[in-house]
Amino acid sequence: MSLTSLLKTPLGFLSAAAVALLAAAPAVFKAADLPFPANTLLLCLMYGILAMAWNLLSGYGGQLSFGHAIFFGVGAYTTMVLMLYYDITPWIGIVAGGAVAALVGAGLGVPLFRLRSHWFALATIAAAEIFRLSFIPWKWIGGSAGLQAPIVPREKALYYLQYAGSYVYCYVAMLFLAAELVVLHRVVNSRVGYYLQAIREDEDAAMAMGINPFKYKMIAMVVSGFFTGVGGGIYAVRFRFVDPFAVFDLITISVYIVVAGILGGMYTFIGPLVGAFVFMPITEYVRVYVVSRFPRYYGLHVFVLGVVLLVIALSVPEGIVGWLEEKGYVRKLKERW
Amino acid sequence: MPLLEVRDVTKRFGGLVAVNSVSFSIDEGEIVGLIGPNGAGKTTLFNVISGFYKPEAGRVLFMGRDITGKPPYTIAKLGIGRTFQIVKPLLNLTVLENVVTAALLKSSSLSEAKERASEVLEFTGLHEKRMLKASALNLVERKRLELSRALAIDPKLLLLDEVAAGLNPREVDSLLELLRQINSAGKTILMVEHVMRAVMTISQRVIVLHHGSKLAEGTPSEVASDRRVIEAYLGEVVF
Repeated sequence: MSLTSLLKTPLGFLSAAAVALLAAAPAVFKAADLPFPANTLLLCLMYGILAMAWNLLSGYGGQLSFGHAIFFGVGAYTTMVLMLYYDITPWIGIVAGGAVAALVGAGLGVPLFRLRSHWFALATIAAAEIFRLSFIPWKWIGGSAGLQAPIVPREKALYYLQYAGSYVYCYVAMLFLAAELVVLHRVVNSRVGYYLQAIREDEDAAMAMGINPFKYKMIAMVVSGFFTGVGGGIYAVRFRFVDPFAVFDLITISVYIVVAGILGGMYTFIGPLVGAFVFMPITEYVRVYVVSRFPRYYGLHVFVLGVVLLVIALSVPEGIVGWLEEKGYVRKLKERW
Repeated sequence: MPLLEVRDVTKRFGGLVAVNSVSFSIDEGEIVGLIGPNGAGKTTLFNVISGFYKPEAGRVLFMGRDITGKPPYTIAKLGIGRTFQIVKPLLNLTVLENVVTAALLKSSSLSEAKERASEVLEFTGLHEKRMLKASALNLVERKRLELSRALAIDPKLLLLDEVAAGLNPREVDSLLELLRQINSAGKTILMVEHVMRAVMTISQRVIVLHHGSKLAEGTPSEVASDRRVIEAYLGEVVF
């Protein structure tokens, strides 16, 4: 589609405007020295990558995962280990992190996909805990202390992808997010996308149509694992530090991904990205400004998470984009001016 | 060689023998009715043939090939399409998407599948509802959707589980007309049916199951006058 035909619908115009705004934002934040919006934007983009990846397996495929921290953590560690121990640039390391996470996904799929519905969901939590607990005593990769990347000289910044603040990383995240959107869009509009939805809606009906559920769940798991691993790699280079408690965290990784996905709309393509852009600013604001003001009330951010979930469940159970689609707003936005 | 051959198939659930050493065969091009009182084992037999249940004993042969215990998706690929008695629409997808999903089995591209699905929907009379979500359909339409999906995988043999149930006489007639057309297009049909008028008018042959065993087999008129069949049905009626 050419740019001029894109601009003929309100949705096309809004999308183009959003992309332009996003592209300009980090530069503006840097020029105006605004670290908080830049940090928040990076988190939106990162969780956008994660939630979009999660949605292929859990939204399209209906296999509810509360264990995506596995892929995130594996991707983060892979990028870090390659950089620290083998001097491999994170540009390769992030992609390699995705590849290793995809492999882990294939391995985990074999036992996990023997389970259906809530049993599968519970098993993903257990699997993520196993990963966290196994990384803690693993001395080669830093054990419970984790791994930290040293500061590198400025002329090596591009090779080691090391920059002050979140500004540059926003562009890195946008690059990977764009690649992910292209790949996922192709996947969901192919045989795989149709088959995954059939499996989600009714596995028996799917089988009667000649669909092997295991095969397509595995494809979803591998693709989902890959991009979640990429998200982990971006995290590792941005924070220059990984430890088992942070990257395999049930709430701040696994559950945040799920909440972003559900808030934006699981049965929609772009919903999870929208969900991340709504949920992360709320969480970041609370974490940075509210929690610090009430230091005695530990766990306030989790309380906010609960409130957000309650609001979704009561007012927009189908998610923001799902709601917009249902009300016909999306169709209207797709009509020509 | 018969298209489908069921040999001494037995299926048990715990102590209950749902299907007891049943044998029959179906030739290409036939329309065969499978009838019997509630709990006779008709649906269980369908589930064995289509791979959803593994039988404890016996074999199922399709085009001379042993398909016993093969997974349902393999059997579907080999050319057996089925509908479910309790309909299984993909509720959150549109009618068209439901059928496209099925049509993908024999299509090399999505656009080809969309074309085939449109043709099928045109044929089954759901074309006007193709953009509706399946959840918006009523039961009669949902049954048509089941049939459309089964047709869209382009099977050699169609297993229809009570597609006429809940239809009014006029709807039954139009359904029978549809089935005749499907049959004359070269598809073999095995149908479980409670609506006697439907099964007796359209079937060339009828197989009667009772308490999991085959009770009788023959033309509709032979079966209808069989004393054991009458007893099986009347014995069950408790007013």
